[in-house]
Amino acid sequence: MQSNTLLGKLHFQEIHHKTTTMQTRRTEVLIIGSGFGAAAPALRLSEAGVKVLMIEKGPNIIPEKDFKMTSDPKYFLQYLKTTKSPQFDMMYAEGLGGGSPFYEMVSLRAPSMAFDQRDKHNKLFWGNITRSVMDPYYDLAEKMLHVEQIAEDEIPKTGVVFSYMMKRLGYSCDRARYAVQGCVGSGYCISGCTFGAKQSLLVNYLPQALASGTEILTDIEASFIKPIGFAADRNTETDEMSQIPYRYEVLCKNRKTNEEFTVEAKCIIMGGGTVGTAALLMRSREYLSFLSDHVGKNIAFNGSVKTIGLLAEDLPDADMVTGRTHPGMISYQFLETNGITISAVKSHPIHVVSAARFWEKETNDRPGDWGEAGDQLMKLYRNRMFILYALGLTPPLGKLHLRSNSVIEPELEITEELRHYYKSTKEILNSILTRNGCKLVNFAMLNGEGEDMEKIHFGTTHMIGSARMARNIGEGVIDYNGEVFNYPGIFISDGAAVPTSLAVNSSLTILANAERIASSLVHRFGRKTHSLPILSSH
Amino acid sequence: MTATPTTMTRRNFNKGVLLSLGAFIAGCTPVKILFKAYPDEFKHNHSLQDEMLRAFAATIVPGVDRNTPKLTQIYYDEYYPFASYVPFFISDLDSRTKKVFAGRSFTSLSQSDRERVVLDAFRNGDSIIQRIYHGAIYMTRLNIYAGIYDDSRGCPHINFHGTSQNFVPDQMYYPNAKQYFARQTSLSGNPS
Ligand SMILES: Cc1cc2nc3c(=O)[nH]c(=O)nc-3n(C[C@H](O)[C@H](O)[C@H](O)COP(=O)(O)OP(=O)(O)OC[C@H]3O[C@@H](n4cnc5c(N)ncnc54)[C@H](O)[C@@H]3O)c2cc1C
Ligand code: SF4
Repeated sequence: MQSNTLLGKLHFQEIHHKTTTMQTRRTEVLIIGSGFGAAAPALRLSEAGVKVLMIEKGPNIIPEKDFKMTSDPKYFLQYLKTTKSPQFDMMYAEGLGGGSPFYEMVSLRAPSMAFDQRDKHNKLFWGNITRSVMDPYYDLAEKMLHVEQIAEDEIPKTGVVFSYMMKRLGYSCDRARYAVQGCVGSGYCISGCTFGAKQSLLVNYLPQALASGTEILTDIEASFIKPIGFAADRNTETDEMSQIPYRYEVLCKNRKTNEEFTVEAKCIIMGGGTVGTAALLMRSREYLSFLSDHVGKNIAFNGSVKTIGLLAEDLPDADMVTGRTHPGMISYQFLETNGITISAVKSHPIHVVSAARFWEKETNDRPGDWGEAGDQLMKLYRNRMFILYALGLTPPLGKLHLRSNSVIEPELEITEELRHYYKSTKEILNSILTRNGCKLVNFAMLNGEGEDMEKIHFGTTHMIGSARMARNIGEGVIDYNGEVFNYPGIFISDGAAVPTSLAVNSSLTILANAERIASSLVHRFGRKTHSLPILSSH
Repeated sequence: MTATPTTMTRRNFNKGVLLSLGAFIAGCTPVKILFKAYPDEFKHNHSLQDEMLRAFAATIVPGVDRNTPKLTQIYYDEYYPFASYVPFFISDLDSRTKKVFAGRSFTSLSQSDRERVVLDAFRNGDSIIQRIYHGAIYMTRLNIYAGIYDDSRGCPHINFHGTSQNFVPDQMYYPNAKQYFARQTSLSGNPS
């Protein structure tokens, strides 16, 4: 595995130089992005003998050289991007491996309830795809990322305290699952693991895809997708790759040199993430005028709600700093009744202080989030402050608007349903704290200027569904095998394809779904067959 | 964008401040505004600037040692748009102190009196002043509590060790954790 990574390093760089002299190039399959949704089809198609080119707009990442244990905002802002509105913000990463180098490695299967969600016409969002249909793909994804349940003696103190609080109330709490091997508990997961423990895509899918023949270019952004020729030319009768014409051209830009070039492809697989894929489709609408109206809509966001308290005296110390970034425990106690899962937050000061201000009580005419009162509270931050958060099956109500070719803005209408969800979820979280004798702490989420955002504000790294799978073009953008309605040969296999909130972290489901879509692609276009089941038509 | 108060409408200025402070965390290209209507001493006297910024930092985070290295670096760091407002911010802090405490200087005040000056900016300052003070408080807390310029040091004040300490398992985990565990709904952590 290590030698694959080294091979990958050399190859990524070498190829990057070649682009400077390129005008037009051809490939059978062009994959846009290099995150969870992109990596699986790259590996499976190149293993099956298809010629694959992958382009990633973010920089190459060499863990030994590029990762740092740091709290420096400049470092994070190189890779982590946010798109914000007063009610809604989404954070994602841009770089080789997409979100995987920076994620917290929580790798959970979505519960059956997530797949059973229905739309307003009482139709299943996921069509025939159930948890048991997904399970073999989850198995495969877990095997590739070495996902394991956290060992009992490696649960960070914060997770243990959370489990104890749930126990005292007679509730359940499970040990969570992670894509990590040999974690030393440095706590710097979000800045990228310098210990080689995190199983990001940089140590499995991507080097393996490279070794199977995928070409990977970094710092290359797909700007527009255009069909070549007439619609009839794109509707081929054959799945034999050699007989499919080059149906699409993609204008690409080297973000380091600003040089532009074109890639002609027989098939395109979009894996730019929920924001990136929707933005590219919206930019390309001029050329892809028969796209569904649903592009950029129906964004599900796992409705994250938080609450903060100070631990009661009879509870042992938590620890925001030591151990992996996620606290190791998750409670499914309220899944059936309220559609939520609950965890605790474990976070270095940079991630909390940049996101929120908090105060214990109003002193005179101001909240005490700075000065003596604020400082006293911060001294309790590491061991006695406790943050709970819930993820829930909130409806897909988010939207994206393209303001210019590079500016994209989110929108979320806080409906009565969302307001009620927020209130009832908050009550559950607060009651877990107060019934354990903890004191609640006030807080407000902040924008990048240090000012408060709206009271009901949903921030997420789990956005999905901006080009969702559906039965038909009136309900979504792609079919259940990932193919874009009206544009044969364009597929979407990333978070944008996933139609509903999951109530758990999203990456494993995105990857499993990408494996499922890749499996049907290999079946159609591959030169070898794949052993996992293929979904029949819907 | 470069502009002076004479060439700029109030609305434009507001927009400029908004954009440029917004860029602080959003990471877009900073919009630079040079606001020049303040006494020269606040532009050129760096030791005065530094002294006042240290006093301001200690107002927001009272327990911090005023001699902490790099305590004021964030205010001058040109990566953040706040750097272009430093002289303006200091001159406002100074004139506000003189108004509230009859001619005294900010650095000579007690902690609670310095807090009153900052509060005055929120109570009586216009929206631009409030924005700048919000930004200054935000940056101060980030700089000190997260220890952003010295990863190995972290923030001893709140017992955040930074990268300097390697913890052994006994410090990180409870050896007897199992006694605290709640009942689990699944063996694997993945209930169906
Ligand atoms: C800090 C953080 C922590 C997280 N922790 C967890 C966790 O613990 N567990 C979990 O399950 N999930 C976690 N997530 C969420 C998870 O990372 C995402 O759900 C996942 O990465 C989404 O996968 P994706 O394939 O849809 O897109 P991404 O992984 O976002 O990949 C998309 C890639 O495409 C590139 N791209 C976009 N547009 C273009 C274009 N036009 N041309 C070329 N390239 C393009 C982007 O640069 C990016 O690299 C976390 C996310 C963040 C930011
Ligand atoms: S806590 Fe574990 S996975 Fe996270 S950075 Fe440290 S060693 Fe890597």
